[in-house]
Amino acid sequence: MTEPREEPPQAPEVQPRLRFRKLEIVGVGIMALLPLAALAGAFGPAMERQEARAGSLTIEAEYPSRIRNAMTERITVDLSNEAAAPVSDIEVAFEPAFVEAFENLMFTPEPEHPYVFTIDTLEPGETRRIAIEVLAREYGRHEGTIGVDHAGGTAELPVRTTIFP
Amino acid sequence: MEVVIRIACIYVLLTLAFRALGKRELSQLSPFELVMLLLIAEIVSPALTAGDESFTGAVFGAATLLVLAFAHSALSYRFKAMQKLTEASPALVVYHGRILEDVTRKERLRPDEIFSEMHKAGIERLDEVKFGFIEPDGMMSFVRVDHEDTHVPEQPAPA
Repeated sequence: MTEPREEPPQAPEVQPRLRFRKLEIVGVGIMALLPLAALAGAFGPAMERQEARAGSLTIEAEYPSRIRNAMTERITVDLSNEAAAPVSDIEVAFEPAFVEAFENLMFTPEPEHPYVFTIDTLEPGETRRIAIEVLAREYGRHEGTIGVDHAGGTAELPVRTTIFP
Repeated sequence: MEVVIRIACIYVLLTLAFRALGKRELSQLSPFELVMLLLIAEIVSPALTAGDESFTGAVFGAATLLVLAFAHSALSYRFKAMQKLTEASPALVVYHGRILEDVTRKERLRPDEIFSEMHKAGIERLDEVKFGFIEPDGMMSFVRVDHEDTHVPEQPAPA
């Protein structure tokens, strides 16, 4: 005959009802807002697009409206000639204060003068892109303009970037 | 935002992975296990941040981790299934001076390790052990045989 096995003592069962301290509710509530805000897209990197016309030129600028410190992004300006005739001597100028808010600037193509690009001729239907690869470093809000100038017209596109720390 | 999803995924993965690894891995790290843990940290680190070195990303990441840890703790308390899924239960490895070999094999616990833990608890011989457990945190605990003689007074009857 085998002896009945003695079971080790078990912890008593209690109804597992959750109760939180006020400080926990407030603290965790505030902390939970951060990932929720992040999931909703707040404080994340975002790009913005601006469009303008300068005579027969269509200008499309895309730039980071929100970016985080140490992130790399591209500012691009696309110029399209929608006229039947070529457009000559186009000048695209970035406001230095805006561009200098970034570091490690890489230009495509290389500018003629600091932050000023010149396009000799844009044939009808042709599109040309100017791009600057930037590294965000100086946190805060940075504003500026991208100016396009040629004999047939001028345009100014406002640009604004917020760099989060 | 990407970092929140990444951290949530890695948190769930590692919680389940450590649950699957067993209790022993949590309490004592052999050189191999230490290397493994260090390598895991190195491997998952870039996946967590995805190159985001910003302070903002760090704040969101830390908040995500803390909220997950709080939610995990609350859900484990409230739901037994959650507790079973993510936390090990204590296992009886010594029963009235006898090592339960089947359990020690599952827990990858050698007799010399049990003896070492017994000695740390001031127990000399196996027959002094009434119950020996490996706890969810990987530590061992013992109930001595002479605890049987301890008299626990009954609660006085209500007047």
